Amino acid sequence: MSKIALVYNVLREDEKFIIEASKKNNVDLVLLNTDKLILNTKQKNFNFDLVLNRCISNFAGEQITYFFENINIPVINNSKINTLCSNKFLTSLFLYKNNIPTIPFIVFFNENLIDVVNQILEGYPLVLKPIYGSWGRLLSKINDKDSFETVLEHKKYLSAPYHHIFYVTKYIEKPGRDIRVTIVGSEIICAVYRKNSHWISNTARGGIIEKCEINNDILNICKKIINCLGEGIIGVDIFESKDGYLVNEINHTVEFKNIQKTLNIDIGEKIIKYCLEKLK
Amino acid sequence: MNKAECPICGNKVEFQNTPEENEIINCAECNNTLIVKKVDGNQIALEEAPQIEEDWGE
Repeated sequence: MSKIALVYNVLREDEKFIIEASKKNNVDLVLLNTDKLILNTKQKNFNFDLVLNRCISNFAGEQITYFFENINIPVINNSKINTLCSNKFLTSLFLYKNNIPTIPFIVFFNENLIDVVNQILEGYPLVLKPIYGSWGRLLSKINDKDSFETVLEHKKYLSAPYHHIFYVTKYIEKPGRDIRVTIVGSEIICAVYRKNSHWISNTARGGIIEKCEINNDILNICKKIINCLGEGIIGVDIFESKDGYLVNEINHTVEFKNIQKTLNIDIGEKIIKYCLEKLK
Repeated sequence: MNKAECPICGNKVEFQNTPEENEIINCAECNNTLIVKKVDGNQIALEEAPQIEEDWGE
């Protein structure tokens, strides 16, 4: 019988839902805790046939995916999805290249260019984001030139080199919410509104969730993402702007516990069944 | 039923089943988020959950 390995470094409620679903479906699930994991090409005969990477640490998770793919054990999500979704600039480029509506963006490296950047993005407010990061961490809404200068000065003193890559997007006025679509394989499972009076609507920042009906526009955007990116387990974040829907981000280690509990959809089971399908 | 002491408030945290290492739980008494650091037979060691790291997330 084929086995699935669930890789994790912190076992959250999301992973517990997956474990529960594996028991319910009599799936042999091996838990791989990264604290005990050594990626060693000399090791043969792993006792699993597919890796479900649920590593909360983006960089560790990326190396784990590269390793198992290169010793011919398939990984969900694959390295293409992992690499593309973990880097916000790369995600923006992917969306642009595939004519998927997204937020105007720019990358620059020298703080002396802020006036030009502001002009290109048609004026403040702007949003400055680290190219790597999640849960709305270190996002800055830049309301004017003074705050732009200050934030960039602070960023220059952060040690990680990627903080010195200034990725800026236009600020999009939202109706106090954004949309998260959860996709497993080729199935567009569900969509929710994430409501928050703060300009960052991420539920990790306290946003609340309500069901969102998937209309044709949302459906077409998601289908296009699946076609261009390939199948995987992803969360697509969409803004409702005055110019229509805009894709903000695509997440590759998608969290679903709040959605599962609110909508009563067993996403953990959808994930397990998708893994089983990939093992056939 | 397995039990372990909350490292923050000293409450006895009860487990229906043996937990997994690095499993995140909440203490029912002080509501702090804890992590299962070690499972050795019936011995379960809990620690305060780690701070969010810079590359953690979705």
